[in-house]
Amino acid sequence: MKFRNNSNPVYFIQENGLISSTQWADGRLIPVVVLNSKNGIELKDFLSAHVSSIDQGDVITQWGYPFSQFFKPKVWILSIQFKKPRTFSFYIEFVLDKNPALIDAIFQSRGLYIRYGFPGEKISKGMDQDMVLIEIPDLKRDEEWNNTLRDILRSRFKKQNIDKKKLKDEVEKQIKKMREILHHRIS
Amino acid sequence: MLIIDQNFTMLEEINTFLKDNITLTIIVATISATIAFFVYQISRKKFRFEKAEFENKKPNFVLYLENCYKLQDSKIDDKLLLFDIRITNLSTTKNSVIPKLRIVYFVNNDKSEIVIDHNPKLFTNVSHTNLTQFSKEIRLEDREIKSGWVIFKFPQNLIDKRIDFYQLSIEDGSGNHSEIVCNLLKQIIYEVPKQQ
Repeated sequence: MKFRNNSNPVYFIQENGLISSTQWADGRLIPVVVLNSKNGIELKDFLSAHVSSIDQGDVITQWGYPFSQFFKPKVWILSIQFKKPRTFSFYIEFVLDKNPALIDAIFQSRGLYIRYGFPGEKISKGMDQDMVLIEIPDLKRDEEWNNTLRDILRSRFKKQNIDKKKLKDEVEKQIKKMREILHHRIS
Repeated sequence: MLIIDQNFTMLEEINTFLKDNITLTIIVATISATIAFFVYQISRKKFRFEKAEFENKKPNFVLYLENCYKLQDSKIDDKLLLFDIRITNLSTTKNSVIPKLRIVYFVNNDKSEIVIDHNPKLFTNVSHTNLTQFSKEIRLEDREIKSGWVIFKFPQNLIDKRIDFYQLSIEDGSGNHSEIVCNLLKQIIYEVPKQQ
Protein backbone atom coordinates (compact mmCIF):
# COMPACT_ATOMS: atom_id res chain seq x y z
CA MET A 1 0.00 0.00 0.00
CA LYS A 2 1.25 3.47 -0.90
CA PHE A 3 0.55 6.49 1.29
CA ARG A 4 0.15 9.97 -0.13
CA ASN A 5 0.79 13.03 1.99
CA ASN A 6 -2.35 13.88 3.89
CA SER A 7 -3.42 15.49 7.11
CA ASN A 8 -2.49 12.59 9.41
CA PRO A 9 0.50 13.41 11.61
CA VAL A 10 3.69 11.39 11.23
CA TYR A 11 5.43 10.32 14.43
CA PHE A 12 9.09 9.43 14.60
CA ILE A 13 10.74 6.85 16.81
CA GLN A 14 12.79 8.40 19.58
CA GLU A 15 13.57 5.24 21.56
CA ASN A 16 12.60 1.61 21.34
CA GLY A 17 12.81 -1.59 23.34
CA LEU A 18 11.03 -4.81 24.20
CA ILE A 19 8.75 -5.73 27.07
CA SER A 20 7.60 -9.13 28.16
CA SER A 21 5.00 -9.75 30.82
CA THR A 22 3.18 -12.79 32.11
CA GLN A 23 0.02 -10.66 32.12
CA TRP A 24 -0.05 -10.26 28.37
CA ALA A 25 0.05 -12.26 25.18
CA ASP A 26 1.31 -15.57 26.60
CA GLY A 27 4.47 -13.86 27.83
CA ARG A 28 5.73 -12.92 24.38
CA LEU A 29 8.24 -10.11 23.87
CA ILE A 30 6.46 -7.06 22.54
CA PRO A 31 8.29 -4.04 21.09
CA VAL A 32 7.84 -0.60 22.62
CA VAL A 33 8.36 2.69 20.78
CA VAL A 34 8.69 6.17 22.24
CA LEU A 35 7.17 8.55 19.71
CA ASN A 36 7.23 12.25 19.09
CA SER A 37 6.73 14.81 16.34
CA LYS A 38 6.17 18.54 15.90
CA ASN A 39 2.67 18.25 17.37
CA GLY A 40 3.49 15.34 19.62
CA ILE A 41 1.32 16.63 22.43
CA GLU A 42 -1.78 15.38 20.55
CA LEU A 43 -0.52 11.82 20.93
CA LYS A 44 0.23 12.41 24.60
CA ASP A 45 -3.34 13.60 25.20
CA PHE A 46 -4.78 10.69 23.28
CA LEU A 47 -2.71 8.09 25.17
CA SER A 48 -3.75 9.64 28.45
CA ALA A 49 -7.44 9.52 27.40
CA HIS A 50 -7.06 5.94 26.18
CA VAL A 51 -5.46 4.69 29.38
CA SER A 52 -8.10 6.30 31.60
CA SER A 53 -11.03 5.22 29.41
CA ILE A 54 -13.17 2.13 30.01
CA ASP A 55 -14.21 1.94 26.36
CA GLN A 56 -10.92 0.98 24.75
CA GLY A 57 -10.01 -0.99 21.68
CA ASP A 58 -10.81 -1.06 17.97
CA VAL A 59 -7.78 -0.02 16.06
CA ILE A 60 -7.11 -0.46 12.35
CA THR A 61 -3.49 -0.84 11.27
CA GLN A 62 -1.90 -1.02 7.85
CA TRP A 63 1.69 -1.23 6.64
CA GLY A 64 2.78 0.87 3.71
CA TYR A 65 5.43 3.20 2.34
CA PRO A 66 5.45 6.75 0.98
CA PHE A 67 4.17 7.25 -2.56
CA SER A 68 7.36 9.15 -3.43
CA GLN A 69 9.42 6.00 -2.65
CA PHE A 70 7.47 3.70 -4.94
CA PHE A 71 10.37 1.73 -6.41
CA LYS A 72 12.80 1.49 -3.50
CA PRO A 73 11.31 2.45 -0.15
CA LYS A 74 13.71 3.69 2.49
CA VAL A 75 11.04 3.79 5.16
CA TRP A 76 8.04 1.69 6.06
CA ILE A 77 5.05 3.41 7.54
CA LEU A 78 2.57 1.96 9.97
CA SER A 79 -0.83 3.61 9.65
CA ILE A 80 -2.79 3.49 12.89
CA GLN A 81 -6.45 4.45 13.20
CA PHE A 82 -7.95 4.38 16.67
CA LYS A 83 -11.74 4.20 16.88
CA LYS A 84 -12.10 4.30 20.66
CA PRO A 85 -12.19 6.21 22.98
CA ARG A 86 -12.12 8.73 20.11
CA THR A 87 -11.01 8.63 16.51
CA PHE A 88 -7.34 9.40 16.08
CA SER A 89 -5.22 8.53 13.06
CA PHE A 90 -1.50 8.86 12.64
CA TYR A 91 1.52 7.29 10.99
CA ILE A 92 4.70 5.89 12.53
CA GLU A 93 7.77 6.07 10.35
CA PHE A 94 10.26 3.20 10.53
CA VAL A 95 13.59 3.80 8.79
CA LEU A 96 14.57 0.50 7.18
CA ASP A 97 18.33 0.93 7.70
CA LYS A 98 17.90 1.88 11.35
CA ASN A 99 14.93 -0.18 12.54
CA PRO A 100 14.86 -3.60 10.81
CA ALA A 101 14.99 -5.50 14.11
CA LEU A 102 12.17 -3.40 15.50
CA ILE A 103 9.92 -3.98 12.48
CA ASP A 104 10.72 -7.68 12.63
CA ALA A 105 9.79 -7.75 16.31
CA ILE A 106 6.39 -6.25 15.44
CA PHE A 107 5.85 -8.91 12.77
CA GLN A 108 6.86 -11.70 15.15
CA SER A 109 4.93 -10.54 18.21
CA ARG A 110 1.88 -9.08 16.38
CA GLY A 111 1.85 -6.28 18.92
CA LEU A 112 3.31 -2.85 19.62
CA TYR A 113 3.36 -0.64 22.69
CA ILE A 114 3.32 3.09 21.95
CA ARG A 115 4.40 5.83 24.33
CA TYR A 116 4.97 9.55 24.03
CA GLY A 117 8.40 10.88 24.92
CA PHE A 118 11.69 12.42 23.95
CA PRO A 119 15.08 11.09 22.83
CA GLY A 120 16.99 9.59 25.74
CA GLU A 121 13.87 8.49 27.65
CA LYS A 122 14.67 4.83 28.09
CA ILE A 123 11.82 2.31 28.11
CA SER A 124 12.85 0.85 31.47
CA LYS A 125 12.77 4.26 33.13
CA GLY A 126 9.32 5.29 32.00
CA MET A 127 7.17 2.32 32.89
CA ASP A 128 4.79 4.56 34.86
CA GLN A 129 3.94 6.63 31.78
CA ASP A 130 0.81 6.19 29.66
CA MET A 131 1.40 3.35 27.27
CA VAL A 132 -1.02 1.66 24.89
CA LEU A 133 -0.71 -1.82 23.44
CA ILE A 134 -1.86 -2.20 19.84
CA GLU A 135 -2.51 -5.52 18.18
CA ILE A 136 -1.04 -5.64 14.69
CA PRO A 137 -2.56 -8.73 13.14
CA ASP A 138 -1.39 -10.67 10.12
CA LEU A 139 -1.87 -8.07 7.38
CA LYS A 140 -0.57 -10.38 4.63
CA ARG A 141 2.71 -8.48 4.43
CA ASP A 142 4.92 -11.09 6.13
CA GLU A 143 6.40 -12.41 2.90
CA GLU A 144 7.16 -8.90 1.65
CA TRP A 145 8.78 -8.03 4.96
CA ASN A 146 10.88 -11.22 4.97
CA ASN A 147 12.20 -10.33 1.51
CA THR A 148 12.89 -6.72 2.56
CA LEU A 149 14.71 -7.91 5.69
CA ARG A 150 16.85 -10.25 3.60
CA ASP A 151 17.73 -7.34 1.25
CA ILE A 152 18.70 -5.10 4.18
CA LEU A 153 20.90 -7.77 5.77
CA ARG A 154 22.45 -8.71 2.42
CA SER A 155 23.50 -5.11 1.73
CA ARG A 156 24.85 -4.81 5.29
CA PHE A 157 26.92 -7.97 4.93
CA LYS A 158 28.17 -6.85 1.51
CA LYS A 159 29.55 -3.71 3.15
CA GLN A 160 31.32 -5.97 5.66
CA ASN A 161 32.98 -7.79 2.73
CA ILE A 162 31.45 -11.16 3.54
CA ASP A 163 32.14 -13.80 0.91
CA LYS A 164 29.36 -13.75 -1.72
CA LYS A 165 29.00 -17.55 -1.62
CA LYS A 166 28.31 -17.46 2.11
CA LEU A 167 26.07 -14.39 1.93
CA LYS A 168 22.76 -16.26 1.69
CA ASP A 169 23.59 -18.58 4.59
CA GLU A 170 24.79 -15.70 6.75
CA VAL A 171 21.57 -13.78 6.14
CA GLU A 172 19.44 -16.78 7.12
CA LYS A 173 21.60 -17.38 10.20
CA GLN A 174 21.22 -13.75 11.26
CA ILE A 175 17.42 -13.84 10.86
CA LYS A 176 17.23 -17.06 12.88
CA LYS A 177 19.36 -15.51 15.62
CA MET A 178 17.23 -12.34 15.70
CA ARG A 179 14.04 -14.35 16.02
CA GLU A 180 15.31 -16.78 18.64
CA ILE A 181 14.99 -14.14 21.33
CA LEU A 182 11.65 -12.90 19.99
CA HIS A 183 10.18 -16.39 20.11
CA HIS A 184 11.06 -16.81 23.76
CA ARG A 185 8.07 -16.84 26.10
CA ILE A 186 8.22 -16.09 29.79
CA SER A 187 5.83 -17.99 32.02
CA MET B 1 -66.71 -12.42 -44.86
CA LEU B 2 -68.81 -9.42 -44.26
CA ILE B 3 -67.37 -8.95 -40.72
CA ILE B 4 -63.79 -9.14 -41.96
CA ASP B 5 -64.55 -6.64 -44.60
CA GLN B 6 -66.10 -4.35 -42.01
CA ASN B 7 -63.05 -4.64 -39.69
CA PHE B 8 -60.69 -4.09 -42.52
CA THR B 9 -62.58 -0.98 -43.54
CA MET B 10 -62.50 0.28 -39.94
CA LEU B 11 -58.73 -0.22 -39.65
CA GLU B 12 -58.23 1.54 -42.93
CA GLU B 13 -60.32 4.42 -41.66
CA ILE B 14 -58.28 4.67 -38.43
CA ASN B 15 -55.09 4.50 -40.42
CA THR B 16 -56.24 7.28 -42.71
CA PHE B 17 -57.38 9.31 -39.70
CA LEU B 18 -54.00 8.95 -37.94
CA LYS B 19 -52.11 9.76 -41.13
CA ASP B 20 -54.03 12.95 -41.36
CA ASN B 21 -53.42 13.75 -37.62
CA ILE B 22 -49.68 13.34 -37.00
CA THR B 23 -49.84 15.29 -33.72
CA LEU B 24 -52.36 12.86 -32.30
CA THR B 25 -50.20 9.93 -33.41
CA ILE B 26 -47.21 11.36 -31.56
CA ILE B 27 -49.29 11.95 -28.41
CA VAL B 28 -50.62 8.36 -28.46
CA ALA B 29 -47.12 6.98 -29.01
CA THR B 30 -45.69 9.12 -26.18
CA ILE B 31 -48.42 8.03 -23.75
CA SER B 32 -47.79 4.38 -24.66
CA ALA B 33 -44.04 4.81 -24.18
CA THR B 34 -44.56 6.56 -20.82
CA ILE B 35 -46.88 3.82 -19.57
CA ALA B 36 -44.39 1.16 -20.71
CA PHE B 37 -41.58 3.00 -18.92
CA PHE B 38 -43.56 3.19 -15.66
CA VAL B 39 -44.46 -0.47 -15.89
CA TYR B 40 -40.75 -1.25 -16.36
CA GLN B 41 -39.82 0.93 -13.37
CA ILE B 42 -42.40 -0.74 -11.14
CA SER B 43 -41.22 -4.22 -12.22
CA ARG B 44 -37.61 -3.23 -11.54
CA LYS B 45 -38.47 -1.90 -8.09
CA LYS B 46 -40.40 -5.07 -7.34
CA PHE B 47 -37.44 -7.17 -8.47
CA ARG B 48 -35.06 -5.15 -6.28
CA PHE B 49 -37.37 -5.44 -3.30
CA GLU B 50 -37.76 -9.19 -3.75
CA LYS B 51 -33.99 -9.57 -4.19
CA ALA B 52 -33.32 -7.58 -0.99
CA GLU B 53 -35.89 -9.69 0.84
CA PHE B 54 -34.22 -12.86 -0.43
CA GLU B 55 -30.78 -11.57 0.63
CA ASN B 56 -32.10 -10.61 4.08
CA LYS B 57 -33.42 -14.12 4.60
CA LYS B 58 -30.03 -15.67 3.86
CA PRO B 59 -27.95 -16.58 6.96
CA ASN B 60 -25.75 -13.62 7.78
CA PHE B 61 -24.11 -13.05 11.16
CA VAL B 62 -21.11 -11.12 12.42
CA LEU B 63 -18.83 -11.87 15.33
CA TYR B 64 -17.20 -9.07 17.33
CA LEU B 65 -14.63 -9.61 20.05
CA GLU B 66 -14.96 -7.33 23.07
CA ASN B 67 -12.31 -8.88 25.31
CA CYS B 68 -10.27 -12.00 25.73
CA TYR B 69 -8.53 -13.47 28.74
CA LYS B 70 -6.47 -16.44 29.79
CA LEU B 71 -7.48 -17.33 33.30
CA GLN B 72 -5.32 -19.17 35.75
CA ASP B 73 -6.65 -20.05 39.15
CA SER B 74 -4.49 -21.71 41.75
CA LYS B 75 -7.58 -23.68 42.92
CA ILE B 76 -7.78 -25.57 39.63
CA ASP B 77 -5.12 -27.16 37.49
CA ASP B 78 -6.49 -26.07 34.13
CA LYS B 79 -6.00 -22.80 32.36
CA LEU B 80 -9.17 -21.35 30.87
CA LEU B 81 -9.66 -19.13 27.86
CA LEU B 82 -12.50 -16.64 28.13
CA PHE B 83 -13.87 -14.56 25.28
CA ASP B 84 -16.39 -11.77 25.62
CA ILE B 85 -18.19 -11.74 22.28
CA ARG B 86 -21.04 -9.98 20.52
CA ILE B 87 -22.97 -11.73 17.77
CA THR B 88 -25.15 -9.73 15.39
CA ASN B 89 -27.68 -11.62 13.32
CA LEU B 90 -28.17 -9.49 10.19
CA SER B 91 -30.65 -11.92 8.71
CA THR B 92 -34.44 -11.83 9.04
CA THR B 93 -34.49 -15.56 9.76
CA LYS B 94 -33.64 -17.32 13.01
CA ASN B 95 -30.40 -19.25 13.27
CA SER B 96 -28.22 -21.04 15.76
CA VAL B 97 -24.43 -21.09 15.88
CA ILE B 98 -21.72 -23.06 17.64
CA PRO B 99 -18.56 -21.30 18.87
CA LYS B 100 -15.20 -22.94 18.25
CA LEU B 101 -11.63 -21.95 19.01
CA ARG B 102 -8.71 -22.72 16.73
CA ILE B 103 -5.30 -22.41 18.35
CA VAL B 104 -2.34 -22.20 16.00
CA TYR B 105 0.98 -23.00 17.65
CA PHE B 106 4.54 -23.85 16.75
CA VAL B 107 6.24 -27.21 17.06
CA ASN B 108 9.93 -26.76 16.18
CA ASN B 109 9.15 -23.78 13.93
CA ASP B 110 6.43 -25.70 12.11
CA LYS B 111 2.88 -24.55 12.53
CA SER B 112 0.31 -26.88 13.97
CA GLU B 113 -3.25 -26.32 15.14
CA ILE B 114 -5.94 -27.60 17.41
CA VAL B 115 -9.69 -26.88 17.39
CA ILE B 116 -11.61 -26.95 20.66
CA ASP B 117 -15.28 -26.50 21.52
CA HIS B 118 -16.92 -24.05 23.86
CA ASN B 119 -17.75 -25.84 27.10
CA PRO B 120 -20.20 -23.92 29.34
CA LYS B 121 -19.64 -26.44 32.19
CA LEU B 122 -16.25 -24.80 32.74
CA PHE B 123 -17.96 -21.63 34.01
CA THR B 124 -18.32 -23.38 37.39
CA ASN B 125 -14.54 -23.04 37.76
CA VAL B 126 -14.62 -19.27 37.23
CA SER B 127 -14.79 -17.05 40.29
CA HIS B 128 -16.87 -14.44 38.42
CA THR B 129 -20.39 -15.81 38.79
CA ASN B 130 -22.19 -12.89 37.18
CA LEU B 131 -20.89 -13.47 33.64
CA THR B 132 -23.48 -13.72 30.88
CA GLN B 133 -22.81 -17.26 29.76
CA PHE B 134 -23.47 -18.55 26.29
CA SER B 135 -24.78 -22.08 26.01
CA LYS B 136 -23.08 -24.66 23.79
CA GLU B 137 -25.41 -23.75 20.94
CA ILE B 138 -26.29 -20.08 20.65
CA ARG B 139 -29.78 -19.38 19.32
CA LEU B 140 -30.21 -16.15 17.37
CA GLU B 141 -33.57 -14.52 16.70
CA ASP B 142 -34.04 -12.47 13.53
CA ARG B 143 -32.03 -9.22 13.58
CA GLU B 144 -30.88 -9.95 17.12
CA ILE B 145 -27.69 -8.81 18.82
CA LYS B 146 -26.41 -11.07 21.61
CA SER B 147 -23.51 -10.47 23.97
CA GLY B 148 -21.95 -12.96 26.30
CA TRP B 149 -18.97 -15.11 27.24
CA VAL B 150 -17.65 -18.32 25.80
CA ILE B 151 -15.14 -20.49 27.61
CA PHE B 152 -12.56 -23.03 26.49
CA LYS B 153 -10.13 -25.25 28.32
CA PHE B 154 -6.55 -24.49 27.34
CA PRO B 155 -5.07 -27.83 26.23
CA GLN B 156 -2.46 -29.14 28.65
CA ASN B 157 -0.16 -30.19 25.82
CA LEU B 158 0.14 -26.57 24.66
CA ILE B 159 1.35 -25.16 27.97
CA ASP B 160 5.00 -25.14 26.92
CA LYS B 161 4.27 -24.40 23.24
CA ARG B 162 4.68 -21.08 21.46
CA ILE B 163 1.21 -19.89 20.49
CA ASP B 164 0.92 -18.02 17.21
CA PHE B 165 -2.71 -16.89 17.44
CA TYR B 166 -6.19 -17.77 18.63
CA GLN B 167 -8.99 -17.80 16.08
CA LEU B 168 -12.49 -17.71 17.46
CA SER B 169 -15.27 -18.64 15.08
CA ILE B 170 -19.01 -19.21 15.10
CA GLU B 171 -20.59 -21.57 12.59
CA ASP B 172 -24.16 -22.50 11.77
CA GLY B 173 -25.47 -25.85 10.51
CA SER B 174 -25.07 -24.86 6.86
CA GLY B 175 -21.38 -24.08 7.21
CA ASN B 176 -21.74 -20.28 7.23
CA HIS B 177 -19.25 -18.81 9.62
CA SER B 178 -17.76 -15.62 11.03
CA GLU B 179 -14.36 -15.52 12.66
CA ILE B 180 -11.99 -13.23 14.48
CA VAL B 181 -8.29 -13.55 15.29
CA CYS B 182 -6.79 -12.64 18.64
CA ASN B 183 -3.03 -12.45 19.08
CA LEU B 184 -2.69 -10.76 22.44
CA LEU B 185 -4.57 -12.32 25.32
CA LYS B 186 -4.71 -10.71 28.73
CA GLN B 187 -3.81 -13.02 31.57
CA ILE B 188 -5.67 -13.16 34.87
CA ILE B 189 -4.00 -15.05 37.68
CA TYR B 190 -5.83 -15.80 40.91
CA GLU B 191 -3.56 -16.56 43.79
CA VAL B 192 -5.32 -18.15 46.74
CA PRO B 193 -3.21 -18.23 49.89
CA LYS B 194 -2.52 -21.78 51.02
CA GLN B 195 -4.18 -22.79 54.28
CA GLN B 196 -1.81 -23.80 57.02
